[in-house]
Amino acid sequence: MTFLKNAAIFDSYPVFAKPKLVIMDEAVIKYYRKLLRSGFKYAGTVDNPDIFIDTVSENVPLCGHAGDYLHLYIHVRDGKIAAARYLCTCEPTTNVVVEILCGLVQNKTLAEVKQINENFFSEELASDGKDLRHKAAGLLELLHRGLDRYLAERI
Amino acid sequence: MMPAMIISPKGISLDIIRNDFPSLRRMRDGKPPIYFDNACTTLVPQQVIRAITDYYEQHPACGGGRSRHWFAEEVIAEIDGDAAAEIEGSRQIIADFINAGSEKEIVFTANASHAINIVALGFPFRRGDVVLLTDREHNSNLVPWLRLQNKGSIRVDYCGTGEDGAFDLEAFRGKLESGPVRLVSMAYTSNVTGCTLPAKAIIDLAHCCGARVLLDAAQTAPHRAMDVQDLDVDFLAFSIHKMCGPRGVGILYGKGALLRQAEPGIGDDGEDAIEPVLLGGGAVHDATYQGYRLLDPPERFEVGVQNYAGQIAAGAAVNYLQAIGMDRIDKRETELNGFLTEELLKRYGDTGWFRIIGPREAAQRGGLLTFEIKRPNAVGITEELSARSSIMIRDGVFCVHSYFNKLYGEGWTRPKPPSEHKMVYRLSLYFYNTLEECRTFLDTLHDIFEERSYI
Repeated sequence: MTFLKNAAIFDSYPVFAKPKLVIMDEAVIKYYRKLLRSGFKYAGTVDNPDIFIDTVSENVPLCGHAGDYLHLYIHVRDGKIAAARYLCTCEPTTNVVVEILCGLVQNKTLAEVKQINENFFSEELASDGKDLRHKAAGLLELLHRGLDRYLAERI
Repeated sequence: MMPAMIISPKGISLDIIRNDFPSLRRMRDGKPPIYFDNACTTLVPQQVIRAITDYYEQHPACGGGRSRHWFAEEVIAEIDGDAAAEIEGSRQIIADFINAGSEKEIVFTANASHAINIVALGFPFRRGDVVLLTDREHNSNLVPWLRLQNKGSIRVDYCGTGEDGAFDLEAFRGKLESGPVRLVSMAYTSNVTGCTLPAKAIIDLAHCCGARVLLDAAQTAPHRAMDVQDLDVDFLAFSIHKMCGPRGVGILYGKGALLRQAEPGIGDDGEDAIEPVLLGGGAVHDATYQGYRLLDPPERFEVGVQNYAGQIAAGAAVNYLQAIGMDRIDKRETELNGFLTEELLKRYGDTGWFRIIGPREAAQRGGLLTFEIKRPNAVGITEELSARSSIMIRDGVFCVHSYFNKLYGEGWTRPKPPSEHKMVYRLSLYFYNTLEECRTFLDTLHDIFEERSYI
C-alpha cells in the first residue's frame, strides 16, 4: 500500500501544531446531530481504492492520540473522484469534517480537488470554528499528499 | 446516596490537605484542576517536594556507604536511618508501612515494573515451570513473563476473572493442581476494575502447592494498609509515584531468604532466592579478576548511584499518607466513588450504551471507576472534559491491552463505521478529591453527552 511505502517520509514532516483543546461549535453540533439522525452517508470502504490514507501512518495529529484515527478510501475514474469513503475512530468534529470532505470531492477532477481548502468547510457549515478549520486543513493536507502519490505513481 | 463528607482525617481538614498540593492551586481559564487520573500517578504534596529539594540543596551526595563524609552520612541516615541520631530512614518507614519483618527486605527500584522485572529475570526457573497470572494484568506484569515464555524458560497460564472482576478461587486451585506452577504473579488490585484479590487465600493455596507468590500492589499500596507478614506473600511490588511520592522510585519487598541467593561458599539460603539482574558498583562486597562477592540484600539489588532524593522523598510520602490514615483514605475514595457510581447508573445505567467495567458496587472498586461508552464517536471525551472543566481522566486500555483485546477483539480501536464505535474511560480518585469535583465531572459529562446527542 502506498501509505506504508511513504510513511517514513512523513514521520519527520513538520505537520501541524497540536490543536488547542476547543469545544465543538454550534454549527458542528448541528451538523453532527443531522448525521446521527440521517446516518453517516460516507462511512464505509471501497474495494481496491486508488488512494488510501491512514492518518496514523501519515503522522498527522488530527485527533490527538492513538486509538483516534481515520482511514480514507478513494476511487478515481477518468480523472475524477468516483467514490470517497472512510472508517474512523475519532471524535465528532473530525467525523463531521471527513463526511463533508467525502461529499465535496465527489465527481470532482483531481485538479478541482486540489483547489479545495478549509474555506469550503466553513462555507458548508456557515462557521469559522477554529477546530473545524484546523481539522479540515489537516485532512486536506493528507488528501493532497494522497493525490500527489497517486499522480506520481501513474507517471 | 449523599456521602457524609467532608472527612476530616485525624482532625486535618480537607482544605488543609488540598493546600499541601501546589498543583491544586493552579488555574486554567479560571478553573482549578480536577485530577481524577490518580491510578496513573498522583499529585505531590509540598512535604514530598521539600524532601526532594532538601536532598539537592543540603547534601546531594552519594548514599550507599561508599563515601564516608558529612554529606554522605546524612544521605545514608535519611535512607537507612541513624539510631544514634534517632533518625528513622525511609527504608524502615516503608518496611513499617507494609509491616515487613526487616528493612533489609525493602529494595528500592525505579518503579513497580522494574521490581517485577527483577523477580522475573532473577527467579531461578526451571524449564517447564508455570507462572500463573490473572487475565487482567498490566503489561508490567504480563510482558516480562511472555518474554520468558518466548525464550522457552517458562509457560504462562491465566486464571480468568468473572465479568464483575471476581476471582474464582476454585478455578485457581484447579490451575495449581493441574500443572507445575512455580510462581503466581498477580495484580493485587486491578487497574481496570479496581477489584482487589483475596490475596491471603491465594497465597495460602499457592504455598500449599509449592508455588511462590508475587503481588503487583501498584494499585493497592496507595489506598489501603497492607501487612506482608500476615499475607505471607513472597514478593510484593509497588510504585511510590502512585502514592504522592516522587517519580522514578518503586519498591520490591522480598522475604529475606528469597533475596539472598546462595553463593559458592557463602551460605545456602532459599532455593527460590532471586539473583540480581544488574551487577555493578554499590552491590559488590569484594571482587578479584576471577570473581566477586555481592553485598547482602538489599544493597546487592541497588546497583550504581541511586535516586537518593527519590528514596528519601519516598519516606516523606509514606509518612504523609500515614498521617492521614490508610483507613480514612480507603473510606473517602469509596464514598466519592459510591456517589459517582450511583449518579452515573441513575442517569445512564439503562441506556444500553453505558456500562461500568467491573462490579457495579463502588465498595468493591475502591477509588476506581472505569466505564465503557458504545456510541458513535465515543472517543475524545477525555479531551473535552479537560477543555471544558479542567477535568483529568484517562481513556484507552490503561496498559492492559491483552484484556481489552480479549473483550473487544484485536484491533478494536482501528477505524470503524461510527455505529461500531466504543471507548473506555477511567476515573481514579484519591483522598484529596472532593464531592464538588465529582459534581462538576457529572455535569460536564452530561453536557458532552447532550451535545453529542447520546441522550
